[in-house]
This record gives sequence, structure tokens and C-alpha cells, in this order.
Amino acid sequence: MIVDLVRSGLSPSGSRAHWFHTLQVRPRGRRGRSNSDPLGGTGCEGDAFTWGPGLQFRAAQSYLSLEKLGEGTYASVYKGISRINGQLVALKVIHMKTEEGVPFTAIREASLLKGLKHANIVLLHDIIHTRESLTLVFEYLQTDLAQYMTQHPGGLHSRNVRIFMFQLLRGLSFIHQNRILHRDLKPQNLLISYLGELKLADFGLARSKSIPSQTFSSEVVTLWYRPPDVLLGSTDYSTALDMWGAGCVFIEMLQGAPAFPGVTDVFEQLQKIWTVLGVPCEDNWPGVSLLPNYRPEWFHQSEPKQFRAVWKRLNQLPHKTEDLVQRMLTRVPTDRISALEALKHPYFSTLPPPIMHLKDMVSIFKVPGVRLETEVRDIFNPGRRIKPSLLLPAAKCW
Amino acid sequence: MDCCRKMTDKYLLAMTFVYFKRARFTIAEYTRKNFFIALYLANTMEEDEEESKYEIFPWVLGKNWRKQFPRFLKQRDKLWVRIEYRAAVSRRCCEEVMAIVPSHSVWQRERSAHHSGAQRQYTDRDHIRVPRGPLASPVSCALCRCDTGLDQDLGPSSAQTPNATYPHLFASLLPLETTPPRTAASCRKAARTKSHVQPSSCCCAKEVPRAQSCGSALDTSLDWISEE
Repeated sequence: MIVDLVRSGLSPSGSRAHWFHTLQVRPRGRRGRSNSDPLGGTGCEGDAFTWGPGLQFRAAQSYLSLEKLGEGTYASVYKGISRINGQLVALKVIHMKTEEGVPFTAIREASLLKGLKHANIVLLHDIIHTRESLTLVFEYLQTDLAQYMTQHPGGLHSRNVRIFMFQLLRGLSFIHQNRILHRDLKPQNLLISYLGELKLADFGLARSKSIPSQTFSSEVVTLWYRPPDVLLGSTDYSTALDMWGAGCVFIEMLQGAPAFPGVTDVFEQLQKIWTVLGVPCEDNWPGVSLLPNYRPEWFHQSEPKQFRAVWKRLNQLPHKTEDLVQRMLTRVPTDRISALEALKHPYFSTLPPPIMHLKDMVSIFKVPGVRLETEVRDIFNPGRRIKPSLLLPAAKCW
Repeated sequence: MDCCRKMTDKYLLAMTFVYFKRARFTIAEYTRKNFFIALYLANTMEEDEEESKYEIFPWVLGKNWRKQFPRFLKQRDKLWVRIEYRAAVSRRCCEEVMAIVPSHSVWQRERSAHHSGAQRQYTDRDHIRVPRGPLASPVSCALCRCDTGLDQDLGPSSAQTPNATYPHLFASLLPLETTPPRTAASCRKAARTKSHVQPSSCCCAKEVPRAQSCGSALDTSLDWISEE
């Protein structure tokens, strides 16, 4: 296993030991400190260590495993450090079953990410292949959107929502232009750096949608973020699949709670969506009644509701916010706004204009004036109250 | 024989070719075995329906495929390493490969719309589909049913003869259908509106046609193949 390998490769000299110690005593709260605080991140990331001239990419001993971050469906993820350049990394260690070789999810994830270099896509630095395991070495980001929302409950600062949404759509637009579907958008898979950079991660379910006739699984996307056409059993989906998920994430950031949560099967999930959007019929969705999971008894049920009546936070924001949400959470997939169109929506017009003309690899935080606001609530820092005038309406409305 | 073209349609075959180029195989490595390894990798990347590709095992490994497939999968992983983990092939890249000799019968292996898109798998869950080879073909569906006795064409062959002349590699391995050639434009159109794709009645050629001579075009720089 890679972790053992990297450990056995460690022979700390004095300076190394000191440096290692420095890392260990960094505030353990990877998730604990406020990620909206840019100063929190001034750690080792920026420093360029040249540490051992013989070390090279593709070698297990080039990375040192620090702590386990989590257990995925087919991999364990560790925080680690590159002994080549001192950068923090995330090591996704995939255990190989002897009979099956490398899981297809890993083959797809690594192959796709090899070709995707963008400021809003997690960067795959290196791949280490040994007999027992395959390790994908990613850039390290401090947190993810799910944890960020846990840390800042009750909905995020509306300006931060805009900054996160812009980056999410920028990343999606890039992969969609490359004809790749993510197929598993959810807050857990959106990584966030201390600066507020958001990056799409976990391409284990992702695939190319470039070739026209290939087979597709309909069992994609975590239920809460799965669009109604796929829930209904549609046999053809495309980039609009990810746009629905992005719309759900949008609502979740505003409300501090998932848009369509808490259900366990496809029919309950559909019912939840119809409660807000209304039950579709042939008039407003030609062909819907032919989809496998369509139920005629849904007729005479709910009428569409105003989004601002369902998700109250929209009431306090300019109308264009609700407008963009509506264009993303549209029942008919072909009517759903694309990521590229969404980036041009008036909702983003308050961002500095140069943000629209960045090169792929350039972070939006390079544009003067783009920065994360301090969130109103922080469970790890409850004492840090900002102006009561800012807090009060928030407390009243959320 | 893959009469429904579920694991050997024109795009998967184009990807197979791209992997050969990305791996920089020597002529001696243009083997039947490597062909199936690359074909299996293409299926791994593109097909969400996982079981169809298992039919490749008996084709390449013969009767004892159950014992040998773990080794075959390791070889697939080795090929993946050799192409520097770049198993993603864009549609454009596939189409450029096909454009080298667009009239080649391999590129007429169009998959029907009813074998595309998201597949509901409820029916399949009751039983696991075990590959039927090497003595039988995969179950063919009523729409694609081909009336032919050419099953053995993709059966195992004990000889591992290197196939030196590459354009004939695919031709010598695959039963080919004589389907009227389509222009690239009409293929694209058909792809966009899948309903236009006809479930073609496959009448398999008894003889394997030789590919048009195109060797010179292939020896020139094919650098674009390495681009995603």
C-alpha cells in the first residue's frame, strides 16, 4: 500500500524532521478554521521546497502521507505532501482487487482528468501505479462546499454564493465544451481552497459524452441532485444533467439546506420536485408521458409554485437571482440553460468584467476586487460577530 | 460475433486504433491479443453497460477464459500505463481516424439507436449475463438479427500471428458488413437525431475485403492522435 511505501521511504534528517513537525502542528482543523479567512491559509503551500534531488514523479517515495481525510466508494483519501516540491497533496489510493485490475471508475477519472486543465477543475498532479494500488495525486484543497456550508449554517453570504456559482459554472462550461459529463455534482464534490477557489472533483462517475451512440447508465447522480428527466427514466441525457445539479447546489448555498432533500426513492424524489415545479404534462413537456417512470395519477396534483415562495432567501435578493435559478431548475432538459449561457446571465453582471475573459488556468481571484466576504455565521468561531446591523436581518430571515 | 455492434462499433474500433498509436506499438506488437486488449480498454472508457464487454474474454482467451481473464485485465492496465493513462479519446479524434480511409468497411459498423443511450437494467438484474463464447455469439436482438454462420470469425484462434500490415489488421479480425457507406455529415446528423439511424439489416460478407491501400497516409505524422 502506498502509505506504507511512502512511510518506509522516509528517513528524516534534522531539517526534514523540523519541517514535518511544522506540518503536524498546523491547526488540525483542516475543516476547523474559517475557510473564508484568507489569512488562514498562509501555510506551506506557497513555499517551494526542493527536497531530495533524486525524487521524481510516478514514484511512491516522492509523497509522504500525513492523515486520512476520508473513505470513498472505491478509494481512501489521504492528505499528503510532495517531497519533490513541498506542496500539499491529496492522495487518492485505489485498492485493486486482484481479479479485476484497476476499477473502471479510476481508469475513467484519471484518463479524463489528464486532459482537463482548468482553474475550476481539481488538478491531477501525478499517478503512481504499483502492484497493489493505484494512487492519484491531486492538488490539496482545504475544504469542500458541504463542510463549508456546515461551518457557515443558515445560508451563505449572497456575494460568496455568486462567486462560488460563477466558478462552478465556469468549471462545468469547460468540461461540457470538452464533451464530458460530471454526473455526480453535489456539495461534497466541490472542493474549496482557503481563498474561496472552487474546483470540481471526483470524476469517478464522469464520462465522455462525445461519441454519440455509446451506452449510458441511468443510475447516475446522488438522488437529491438528479434531474427529473433522468428520474423519469429518460434514455438520453447530456450536459443538462449537470445543470440541474448545479441549480440544486445554488439553492442549497442560499438556503443552507438542500433543495429537494430527504427522500429515499425515485418516486418520492419526483414528487418532491413536482411539489415545486408542478406535475408535467404533454402540453408543457412533449413526450413526458412516454417515459418509463411517468405516472398518470400524478395529474390533478400540485400546481407550480413561485420559487421565492418555496425558498424564502430568494425574496431578499434581486429578481435576477431567482431568474437564473429558474432557468437551471427547469423540468425539460432541452430548455435548461447551458453553463456557458448561465455565465452570461445578468446575475453575474456585478462581478468585475475581466472575470469573463480569463485564460483557462487563471483563477478568478486574480481579478482585482474578487474576494470572499466573511460569512455571517461561523460555528467554529461563534464569538466573531460582525456588525449587528448585518446580522439581524439574517437572523430574522433564515 | 457482435452483430449488434455493442462492443465493436466504429467508434470503439477507432479508439482501439488510437491506443495502438499512443502506445507506439512496433509492427510486431500489432497482434490479435493487443487488439482485444485495446478494444477492452475502449469499452471500459465508453460503455456504461458493463457486461457486454465480457464477451471479449472468450474471443481472445478461448475456452479457458475464466482462468485467464485476470491476467488479461492486468494487460489492459499495462496498456493504460503505456499510453500514459490517456485513455480518453474525443469524438473528433475518432472521426479523423475514420477519415483516413472513410470507405473502409470497419467504419460502416454503425450502432443502432436502440443500443445507445441510458439503459434501464431492471431486466438484466435477474440473471448475470455470462459470455457465451467462444463457441456461440452474444445473444443478438430481433432488430439487429443477422443471418449468418460466421460466428467463428471472432472465435479464439490459437495462433498469435503478428499482423504486420496494420490497415488490414481490423479487416482480418472482424466480420464485416456490407452496409452502404454513409458520408461523415450524414453520420453526424444521424448521431444528433438518433431516431434517424436505421436498424440496418446486416448481411455479413463471406469474404473479408482487403482495405484500400493507404499505407502512405499512415506513416506520416499522426501527432493529433495523441491530443486527448
